[in-house]
Amino acid sequence: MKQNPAVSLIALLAYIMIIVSFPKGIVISLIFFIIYPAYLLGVKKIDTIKILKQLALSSLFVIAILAGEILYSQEHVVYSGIVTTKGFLNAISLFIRYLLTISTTLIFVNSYTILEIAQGMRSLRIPDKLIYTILIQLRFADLIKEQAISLNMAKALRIKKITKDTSIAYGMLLSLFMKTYIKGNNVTLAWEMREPYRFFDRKTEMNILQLIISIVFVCSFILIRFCFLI
Amino acid sequence: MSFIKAYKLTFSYNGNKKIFDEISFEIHKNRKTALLAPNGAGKTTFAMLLLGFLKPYLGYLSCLEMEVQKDNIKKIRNRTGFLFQDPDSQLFMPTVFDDIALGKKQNNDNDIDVQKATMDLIDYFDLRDLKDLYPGNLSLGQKRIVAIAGIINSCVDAIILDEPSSQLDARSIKKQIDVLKRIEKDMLIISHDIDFVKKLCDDAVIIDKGKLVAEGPVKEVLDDRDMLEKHGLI
Repeated sequence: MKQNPAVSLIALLAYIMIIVSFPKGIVISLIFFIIYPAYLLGVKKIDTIKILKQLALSSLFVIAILAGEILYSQEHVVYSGIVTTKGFLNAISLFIRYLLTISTTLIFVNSYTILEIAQGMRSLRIPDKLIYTILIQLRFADLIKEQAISLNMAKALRIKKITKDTSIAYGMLLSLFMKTYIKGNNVTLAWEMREPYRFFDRKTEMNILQLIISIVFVCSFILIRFCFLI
Repeated sequence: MSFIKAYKLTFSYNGNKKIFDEISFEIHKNRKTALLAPNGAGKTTFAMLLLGFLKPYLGYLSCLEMEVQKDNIKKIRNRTGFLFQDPDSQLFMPTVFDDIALGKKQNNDNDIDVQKATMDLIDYFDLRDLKDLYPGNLSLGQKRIVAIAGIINSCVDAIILDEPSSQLDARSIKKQIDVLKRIEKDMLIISHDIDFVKKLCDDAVIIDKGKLVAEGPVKEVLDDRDMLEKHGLI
């Protein structure tokens, strides 16, 4: 039986808050927290390769940002008997935090459909207007993706050599914006017509065992957070 | 000489149900050929395979005598124009004139030549009144004709048109047929509109459920009404 998305959502939010609350420069304590995403990957039947690909893609941006941290903070520190720079230690700590929070979020997003997530948010008493806005935003993201793919295909077919003509880039951006806007308006109207709230009003089964496991995980993370700050 | 050749072509999305199952056919040069199939039978997928946007496939597939494989994809795209079902996807210049001129600019650095060739095409397709407008503001039929003019100005050898008659009224369809009849290039028309195909094409290929159903001259293939009905085309 699939776990109630509300339980997973609470566990995810608690997990992210605990990870983010660690002070700068902490590394070893954070490593313990890999157990949770590893457990989720083991329990849920998710395509691990897909998660790793998504993670790797976004990691490139994070690494580029953290390079600045390493370069600009060269003060020497000793961490667990190893001499290193403060910038490097902070960068490693931030990178581990990023990996843990984003991988857990990706596992959550890939475990449920958008409507299940909406149902989960509703059982947490999150206002309907906010849920509805999030759903529409997600649909807009898909629309932008669809339009960008079409434009990219057209570009591959029509632009045969590199050109300095900036009007092509501006034209493509304008076209992307206009088409997404027009289609987005239609999508919004269609959603309104179909009374979206009734779609995420269905109840999902509560799996007590998984709820207990999630609580145990959250409690042990709180314990690690406050008792073993290494 | 063949424009398109498929031999034992097999393709499926992520290893799921086969869209094409060992399908073989040949589309000849200097002909207007229709690829007919009901909705969801893989018409657009075939075009995407041909232009290298989808891969990998099993078997053999060639376009303009070049096998569709990594080394040839750029050459195939350079020599083949594609009319999207939704022409908005390919019209991205600020005016109709700029959009039609874009293809020529890619092949010719002389501005005077580009201007002349573009104006000739604008006159040929009767688009003079629209030349300064933003393409996004045109009707669907006008957008398709502007897109076709842009493709022809790109000096391509062949054109693939994805559902060129869809969502058009009778007058726009007639205009579209007049425009396409005047183009003397290898042409593959992806459609399920039998009347449109009868008026425009020389040959037809019919596919359904991953298999080849019929191929040959339009008059012969489209006379078999029982077969067309069986495959959801009438």
